[in-house]
Amino acid sequence: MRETDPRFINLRKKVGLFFVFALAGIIATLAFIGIERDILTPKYHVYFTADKGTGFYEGMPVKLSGFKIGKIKSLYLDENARVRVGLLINKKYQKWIRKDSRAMLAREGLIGESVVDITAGAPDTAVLKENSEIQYEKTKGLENIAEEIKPVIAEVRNIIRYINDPEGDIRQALSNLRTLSSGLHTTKENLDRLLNNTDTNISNVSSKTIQSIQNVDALVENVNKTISDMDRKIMPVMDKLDRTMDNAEKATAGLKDAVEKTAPKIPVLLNKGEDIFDDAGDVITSLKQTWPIRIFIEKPKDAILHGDSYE
Amino acid sequence: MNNKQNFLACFIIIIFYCALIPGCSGSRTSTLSQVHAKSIEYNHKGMKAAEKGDYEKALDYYAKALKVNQSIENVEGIAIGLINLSVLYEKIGDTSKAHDLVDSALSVPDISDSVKSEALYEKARLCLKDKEIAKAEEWANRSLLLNKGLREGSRWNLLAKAFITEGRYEEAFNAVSAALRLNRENNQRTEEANSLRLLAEINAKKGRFEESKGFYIKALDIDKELGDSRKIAITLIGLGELYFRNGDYDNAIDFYIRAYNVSRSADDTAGTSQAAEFISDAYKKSGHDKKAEEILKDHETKK
Repeated sequence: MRETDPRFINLRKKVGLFFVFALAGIIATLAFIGIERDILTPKYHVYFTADKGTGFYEGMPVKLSGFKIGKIKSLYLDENARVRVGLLINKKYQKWIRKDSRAMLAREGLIGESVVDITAGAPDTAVLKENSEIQYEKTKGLENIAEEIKPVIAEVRNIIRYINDPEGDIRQALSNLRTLSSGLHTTKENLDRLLNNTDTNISNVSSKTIQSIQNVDALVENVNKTISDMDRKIMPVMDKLDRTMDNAEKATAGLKDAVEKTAPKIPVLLNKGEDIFDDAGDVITSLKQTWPIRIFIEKPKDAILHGDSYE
Repeated sequence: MNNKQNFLACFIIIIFYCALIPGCSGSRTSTLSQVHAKSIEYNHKGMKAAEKGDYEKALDYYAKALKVNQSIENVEGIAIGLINLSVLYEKIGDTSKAHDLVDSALSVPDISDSVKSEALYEKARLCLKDKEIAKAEEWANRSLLLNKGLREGSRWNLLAKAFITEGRYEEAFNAVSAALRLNRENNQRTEEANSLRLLAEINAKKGRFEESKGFYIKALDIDKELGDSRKIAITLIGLGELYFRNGDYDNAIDFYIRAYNVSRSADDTAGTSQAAEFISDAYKKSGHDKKAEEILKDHETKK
């Protein structure tokens, strides 16, 4: 049958053309999405081996200096039951990933997502090639730091308990020192009295000299005895004090070490937290510009403070 | 598939594709620069502070907004900032500075008619405050020539107030009638209450007690709805004056006391003092001179 209506002449061609345009549009859109999502970007593989797979997952972002450069492509246990992690990285970042680059599991901020963080290598080292192994550095989590601090805290607690123990050496030593001090006071009083007696009874020196000398002898003997007692009792206390000081010094060094390890991470964590808030702000800004949300958002403008006509 | 089905399929695909294009790749909404957004943020903070009566803070925010707008040569923002500062200075009693600021706003080139109209209205308000009635009318009329927006009723109210001051009650009635209609149409509740108060004043001047009272009561309802303590006190004083002029001192005192309590609770010292003086006057007029003195003394001790 022949079509006589002029509107339907070449209808097949017109329909075909419509399909071609629609198809071309769809393909262009898909290509655009592909480019936007790096689907078409050339990539290469590198690997590392970790003791545990905790925290890793397929698709986890891989970052270099905070920029996403790839993702975890594969995770599996090797023959030694260690975790083999395969990374898929954009080829354009290959120049920075070198022999001395290290991969580590990091968290973006305190509550941010986990990422594999890669450090840039020195320019004089070789670039890592396809299927090369990158060094993996185990990061210390907060749990590890807490575990490290635990013995230090226990040590400090023991020292405090030891110092506070009423039966302990330090308390006993202090008590002995108090007794010794009061003994010395009595001794001083005796000596004073003796000197007074000597002064007033100077005329009876000859008769009482021998007795006085005997008294002084006895007194000196007493003092000697007290001092040797003090010596005997103080020495172990001093030993204990030395040991305590050693322990305290070690504990302080441990604490210092722990703080030194932890302190540099705090500003990094804070910075990362700030970055996350900035990112969230960017996301919200982008969302506000997205159709159809943008239709419902009113553009902010300056407000006029209206004067009241009655006042 | 026949031709009809082919057409339908094509039509659906094209419609879908046409919807996809503006949705996914349509132009982005124009965004404000961070600096401009910051100036707007200061402006809004200033507005909130002014609404709370913290004029010092509001001045600070508006000054910051003005500085930012000047740094990006945002003429509209500069003019708005100058007007806002002028309104604030007028509120704190520095009308000279308020005049300077609004004159500066009027000299800003290329500003929109609505902003210019607001500056002209502010100028008219300041002139009325300075008892320069003719000038106030001139500025208000110039403002009306430019503006036909939501704030038109406020201009007519201002004109009506100027006419009342001159004793031109018929013209005042016409102006305030127009203002009331516009304020109701544009849902300008504060200005609607102002129109009702002005109508009450005109009726009071003409000796129409009941009509005047009715307008005051309607204005009071709106004041209460808006939670505006200052306006509530003003309306109660108006009602008190109405009864006072009518020789009903007891009722006048009741309204003045209500105004006193409202102002006192709202920490409005000027309003409290004014109400105390009205109460004292009413007591004096009713022959209670001792009570009139006691009221003033009591107010002084409570200050």
